[in-house]
Amino acid sequence: MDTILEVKDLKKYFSTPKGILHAVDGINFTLERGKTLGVVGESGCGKSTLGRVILHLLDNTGGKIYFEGEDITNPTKDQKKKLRQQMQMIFQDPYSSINPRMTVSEIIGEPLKIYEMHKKGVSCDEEVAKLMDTVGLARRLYNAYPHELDGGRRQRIGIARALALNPKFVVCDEPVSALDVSIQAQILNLMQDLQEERKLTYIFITHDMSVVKHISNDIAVMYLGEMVEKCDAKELFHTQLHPYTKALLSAIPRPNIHDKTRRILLRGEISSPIDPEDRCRFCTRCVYAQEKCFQSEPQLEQAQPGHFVACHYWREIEEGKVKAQEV
Amino acid sequence: MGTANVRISPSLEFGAVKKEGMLRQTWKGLKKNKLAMVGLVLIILLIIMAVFADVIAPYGVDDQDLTQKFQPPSMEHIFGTDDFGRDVFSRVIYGSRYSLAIGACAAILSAAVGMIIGSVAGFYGGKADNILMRLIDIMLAIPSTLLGISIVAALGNGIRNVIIAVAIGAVPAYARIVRASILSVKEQEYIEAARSIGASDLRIIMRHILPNCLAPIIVQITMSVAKAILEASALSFIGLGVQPPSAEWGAMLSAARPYFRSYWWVMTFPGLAIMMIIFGLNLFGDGLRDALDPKLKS
Repeated sequence: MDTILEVKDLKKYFSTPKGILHAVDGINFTLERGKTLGVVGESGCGKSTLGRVILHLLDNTGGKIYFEGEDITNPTKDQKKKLRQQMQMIFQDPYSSINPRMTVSEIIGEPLKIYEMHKKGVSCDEEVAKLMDTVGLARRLYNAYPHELDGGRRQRIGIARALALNPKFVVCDEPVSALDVSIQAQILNLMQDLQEERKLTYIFITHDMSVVKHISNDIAVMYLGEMVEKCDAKELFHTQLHPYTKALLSAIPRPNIHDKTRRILLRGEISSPIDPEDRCRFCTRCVYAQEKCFQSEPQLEQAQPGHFVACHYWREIEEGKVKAQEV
Repeated sequence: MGTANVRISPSLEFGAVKKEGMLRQTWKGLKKNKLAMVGLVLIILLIIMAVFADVIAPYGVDDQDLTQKFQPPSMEHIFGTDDFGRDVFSRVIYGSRYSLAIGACAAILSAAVGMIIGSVAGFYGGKADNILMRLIDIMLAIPSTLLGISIVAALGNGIRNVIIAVAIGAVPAYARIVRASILSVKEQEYIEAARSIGASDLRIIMRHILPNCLAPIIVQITMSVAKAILEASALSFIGLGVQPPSAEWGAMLSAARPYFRSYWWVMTFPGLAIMMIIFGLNLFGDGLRDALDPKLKS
């Protein structure tokens, strides 16, 4: 076991006029080198915030982060600068995540300039050109401006920029959700190839279940700032223990006309992440919800080896003792 | 080494397309705007006048000839002569130097100060924003001419103090414009991306934020040159700015005021010069604003 990242009880709260918003509320996980953790969940469940807190783009409110065994929860300025080199981010929107006033080479070369890599005997131009080759950008685009390129090429710029400093760990925040399906596949394959070549570790944030299945080793399902289920990717698509995960996976469209599997339709209000009550955060929409769900919050527990779930009744649901209520 | 040399400039090797920058696009838009071109011609004329004043002016700036005083416009003195027999045309030409110096220096000075204040306020927000913007509000509450008069009165006469006075009056506009554009650019994802690759605050402001809010700043600079020239002339006219016998247009107007009824040309030509240059700068500024506005691009 070569653990690269460990997160313990990580919290990020925002204070809003209405109260404290619990964007990330007590997340635990460990991530092994060279693996990919897929983080899925609906919009606003805190998955992007989680990635940004780990990278220190946002300050955490509580908990611990360990990177390669070192406590990096509250890094000093020098530590932060070092960490930036090792942890990078690929952003969601290739249109807004690159500066429209800079050329392709300036964008990719900027991290090199900041870390003065070129002074260590490496020519910046050449390094940029190599990076462009690595991510499959034609060299004739060296002086092009981003607005001349399509979304896929722009995203390749974003990837090249993230890889410029040779990081060990990359947070990918929905890197393909803004792209066409055909381009999505190209970018995903590129990211997988790079992972193999460079032994990268990814946290892959997405709301697209088919993408996450394709790329992840482990999948963590988030709901309103909490992790409700985490297990091996294949296992998750086989057995889902949490009612929310069941509903999420049943929503994947299946291209089969004879497939009569019923989709689980969620009803009810999403409970507010602002000053949440001590109860299951999913109980207002859960078809299995019992009285206990409204009274106390379930903790993440190991149901099977490597399969974690946060639900009071996962056993009973599995055994059929608690039935879904028709609304 | 051969291949390495080629690789160092991949742009040349692969004939990378050198792209139409913002400047060229703006120039294209500007060329279509006839009024803006008129403005540009007037501005260029002023610059030529200022640079080649020694060549263009037929007489020296202070050449007095008391036998020739109050001569009406003629072939010898095309704008006539003033109360000391000085050639008004030559003095108007030399005066462009003052106007250009005051306009450019005041605009650059106020732009620099205003951009620093606006950047800090917009970028850091919170307390810094509140304190700086309230200071700017205080400055805005005082009419800029009044502010200029008080500053020159406190600092004393002279071209340097006029520049300072005019520049201080123009700072609030810059600070507000820069702050507003920074607030809108700050939230863009590429700012976060810059942070994630370890860029310092200064680098983020200089490389990522300011280039993306350049358009309104450029327009403001053009407009504020006009305002600075006008205000400096006004200060000179009321006797607080550049002092006679310097050939500043405002000072010339002021000196000629007593004779205006009998000798109209002494006062008219410096006034016309001020009018033309303000007119030119404003036309150009308007055109520039339109050319830089992406919504107006076809």
